Amino acid sequence: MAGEMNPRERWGLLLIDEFPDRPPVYPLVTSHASAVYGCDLISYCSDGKILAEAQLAAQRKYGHEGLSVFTDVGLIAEAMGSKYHLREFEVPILNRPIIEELSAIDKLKLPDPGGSGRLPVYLEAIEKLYQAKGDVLPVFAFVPAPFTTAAGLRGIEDFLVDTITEPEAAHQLLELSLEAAIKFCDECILCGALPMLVDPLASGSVISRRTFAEFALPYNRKLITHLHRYDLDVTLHICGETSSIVDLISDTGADLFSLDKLDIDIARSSIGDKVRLVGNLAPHNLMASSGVSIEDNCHHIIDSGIRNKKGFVISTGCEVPIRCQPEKLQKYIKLGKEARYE
Amino acid sequence: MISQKIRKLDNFELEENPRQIDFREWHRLFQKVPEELVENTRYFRDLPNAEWSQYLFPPSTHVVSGNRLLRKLKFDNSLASLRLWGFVMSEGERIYRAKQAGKKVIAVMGDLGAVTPLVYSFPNTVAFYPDCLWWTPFMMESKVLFDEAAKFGLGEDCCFVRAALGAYSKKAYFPKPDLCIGTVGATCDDMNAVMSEVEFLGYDIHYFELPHRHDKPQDVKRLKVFLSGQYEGLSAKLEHVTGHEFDLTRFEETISKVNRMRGAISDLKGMLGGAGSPLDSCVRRNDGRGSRRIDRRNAMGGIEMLNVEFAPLSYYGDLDECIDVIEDVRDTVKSRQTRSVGYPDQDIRLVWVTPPADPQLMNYIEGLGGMIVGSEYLINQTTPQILENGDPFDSLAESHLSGSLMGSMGYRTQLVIDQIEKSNAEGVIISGVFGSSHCPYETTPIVDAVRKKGIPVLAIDVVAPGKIMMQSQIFNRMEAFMESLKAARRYRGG
Amino acid sequence: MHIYDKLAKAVVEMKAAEVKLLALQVLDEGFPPDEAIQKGLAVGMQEVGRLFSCKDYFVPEVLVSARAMYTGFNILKPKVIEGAVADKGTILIGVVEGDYHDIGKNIVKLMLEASGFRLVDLGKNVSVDAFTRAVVEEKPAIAAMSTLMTTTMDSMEEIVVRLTKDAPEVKIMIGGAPVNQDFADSIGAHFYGDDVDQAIVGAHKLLGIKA
Ligand code: B12
Ligand code: SF4
Repeated sequence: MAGEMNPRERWGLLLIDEFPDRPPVYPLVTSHASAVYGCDLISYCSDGKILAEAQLAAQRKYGHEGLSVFTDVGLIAEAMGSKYHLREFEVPILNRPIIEELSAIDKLKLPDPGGSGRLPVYLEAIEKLYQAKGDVLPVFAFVPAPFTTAAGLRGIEDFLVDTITEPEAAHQLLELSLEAAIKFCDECILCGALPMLVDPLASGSVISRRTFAEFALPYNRKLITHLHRYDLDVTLHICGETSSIVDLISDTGADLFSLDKLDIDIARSSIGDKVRLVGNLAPHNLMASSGVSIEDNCHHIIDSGIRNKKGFVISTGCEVPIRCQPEKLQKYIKLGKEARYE
Repeated sequence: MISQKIRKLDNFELEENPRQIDFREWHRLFQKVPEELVENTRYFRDLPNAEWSQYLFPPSTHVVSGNRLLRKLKFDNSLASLRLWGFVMSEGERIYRAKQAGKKVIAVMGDLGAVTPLVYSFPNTVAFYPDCLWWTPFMMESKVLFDEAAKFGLGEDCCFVRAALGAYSKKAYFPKPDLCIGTVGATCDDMNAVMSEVEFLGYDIHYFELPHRHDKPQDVKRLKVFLSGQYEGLSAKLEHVTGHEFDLTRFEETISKVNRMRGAISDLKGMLGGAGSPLDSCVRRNDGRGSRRIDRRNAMGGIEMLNVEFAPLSYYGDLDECIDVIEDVRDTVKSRQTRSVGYPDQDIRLVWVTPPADPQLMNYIEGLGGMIVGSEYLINQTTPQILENGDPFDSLAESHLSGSLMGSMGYRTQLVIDQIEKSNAEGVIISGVFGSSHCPYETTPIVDAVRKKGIPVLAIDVVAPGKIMMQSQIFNRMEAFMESLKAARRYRGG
Repeated sequence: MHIYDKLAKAVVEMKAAEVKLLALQVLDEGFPPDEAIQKGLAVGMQEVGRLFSCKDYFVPEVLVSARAMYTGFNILKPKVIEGAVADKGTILIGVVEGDYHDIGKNIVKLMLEASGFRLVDLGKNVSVDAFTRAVVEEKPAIAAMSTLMTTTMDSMEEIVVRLTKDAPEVKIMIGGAPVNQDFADSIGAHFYGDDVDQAIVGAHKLLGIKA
């Protein structure tokens, strides 16, 4: 009559290289929680209590093994002054960046985690989730990485252009974004969450290996080094295609890499002995319209991932779509929980 | 390659004056800790490439891993205490790492004074104390482990030590031990119930029998012979499990380390117990609102001392590092006392009997002005010096005989009275475990004996995590108790 | 090296200042501006497109090259005698409603422009109504839609339905990561392209002209 482990226990073991029964099953259930809970996205993104309630409702429904505090990748940029547009049924979107002229960088102020933008929403949600379930479920706080925040401050295209035409200004912006991320991560930790850095714009779909190495990697490394002072395991999530930079991921110091459109075998052979992998069922497989069966698709991911030397978390490549088909997600989670280490 | 250089903190202080701070303040203060120290404070220094072995972290690290109670506690602000907490909280990880590195992991359960030194006398072994997991439900403010134990029929009518059973069953708190050593005989029923369930789960337990100790001196010799035989049997078992023969030189080396640490703990207890008396070592100071007495104050938190006092049960999985950790705490207290500094407004001298499962209670009483100057945690077999060049098993047996659990009720009561007298205590707190079988029987006679000495006693039953109503009742009783002690002081003319 | 080649090279090398100087030199030395656009700037941009396709260039490089190209374009364009530059036709382009991913669309637009089409850009998050209305008003030869999200693919279908009714003569072209040929066929779009090269090939094919 051996006891069943709870998610917190299973994650705890994974993080010290122990592989007792199976990997944690943690699809990135974020804004989809609002659909489960039945609230609109404006409240989900701007009210910590609702975000927390929705996360708990979704976790009760699906039984996945971690709570996710995430609204959008503009979070920190907004707290520093960029204007975002909140919408009822879609995630917030950048309306007007704060740095329209590079000369405005000098006036940029670091955010106050307790008061700027929607940062307090995150902290409140973390507090609530931690209080409710912190003993059995890890709480992950998704924090936009510096490269992505800088793009939100400057405007995405302008920032990408700056990396070539105004590299110094880009670095200045990145420094500030880094400081803001450190400040915010510190508070998330105090509230009880593990930071998960999200860097969708540092994707190999958007920037070259060189740009990644010069503008994204050093700041992610500094951020992660700071977080390592707390002996915390840090997850880095990069959307899209990452085959051109996968070997650099271990240089950021990330303990876990959440991968999207990258074959898990490639990730495994490149960094699998140093980095735990989190991934990577393509989110669109969870849509009702997707013709392929979950079984067919997750087969390769789970079978390969589970053999990763440094460990594996059964997850999705990116956020579970807001309007995913619940039965498909349930199916994936069930298959995930049936997986076993060899 | 990890630096072997930095072993001691040499009283490196982050703040000049001692105070108790919460985990948020520690988080900020931690930014001042030099990178070099964070990098080089490591366990298992014998393993050259253990990049995971750092352990100097603020409590917020452990909060993230689910230890929710830490959010409510106040911690000492010295670097030595931070190191102590980091060392204690990393024990679980450490024993897993030990196993991964090929060391033998040995569980030592029950009243095991000198068993642990014997375990460490064999090369490549690591000991841990599963009973200590009774703190886990409180640290996590969670019923997970208790619920698990309940599945085996050990519910609220058993001591919190049942959490250890939950952990054995869950297989997520420590790796499968290569050997479990458990005590039977003159020990605690609750503990024994836990052990037999553990055995049913399929673990290999080597039983170590404790004789009931009589208080007649003429019996001591007989008991010593018996215990010595038990040690000899255990040594044979350890030879078998580790594949190494008992080696006298190694044994003597280990004992001298153990003695060094035991000495540091005795020093510490002595320093804190002797930090002043309620009447003579106080000074008067006029603060404008009339004359006010200022005592020599508390120089180390009760919960930190709890960690220190429990160290010799297992050395938290790393004997060498444990010595440094504890000596750092001792040096900090020494330096504070030399400088005559302590926590502001904590000067009511208390003796604490039976370790509280809920560390918040200690914090709470300190917040009300208490300082813990003496303790009786049923583990005093872990403090006397072990004879260094006598017959090995006889020496271990002799030191074991001072244990309070295997002694009579009268003996234990006397230990408490001794503590009170030695430390000039003004009050005694007994924290029992609701529903447990062993400790509660001793509460009443201890209360009576202490009262006879004219010392006020507060006996409380610690409640399982989550019972907020009952906990607030305990807080109320503590407040009233402390008020009465303060009143007594005024009456005595302090 | 001929000045047109220099122009092309400067575009590829993302040197806006140099493009500017060269464009002025083109005018000074009396080269025909329309020829400079086609044989200089456009050729450069095509090379950029090729580099992008083979992953030598990424989004930032393309954007900077484009900006360099536009500095030259803005100098040369006003001097072109009406009708001298072959206008291959008008293409209306937009990202469908609910989707704000416009990097891909912008690159497609840029390259089509560089290949000699006139582009009307509706931007991102364009509703079915707005898209249909714009097609009816602008009467482009081609209507091009982009989306990067599975959740917004459905509105492509709606647009196609509306266009076949309200503007039956327009050719419809779609693209973006989640869509594919099957999807294009199923909704009745005339062309699907999976990258910039395809977008250019498709535009020519739909209008029956040579690249
Ligand atoms: C950059 C990016 C962003 C940026 C967008 C910046 C911008 N202004 O565009 C930001 C960070 C803001 C962002 C936000 C979001 N994103 Co996003 N993002 C990406 C990412 C990493 C790269 C997209 C990109 O720009 N690629 C580079 C360009 C050049 O390629 P392309 O767009 O595919 O275009 C090429 C071809 O498709 C083709 N093409 C394109 N259009 C057309 C049109 C025609 C007619 C033709 C012929 C060809 C053609 O040619 C182009 C050039 O070769 C992708 C991941 C990926 N690998 O695609 C996710 C991705 C598109 N995002 C996704 C999601 C979910 C989001 C968010 C909801 C996340 C969130 N919670 O914040 C929001 C939603 C915003 C919204 N409602 O629109 C998902 C979409 C999931 C799905 N399948 O539905 C993706 C796929 C990531 C994932 N795996 O989950 N994102
Ligand atoms: S009842 Fe007392 S002696 Fe027995 S295990 Fe509990 S605390 Fe220890």
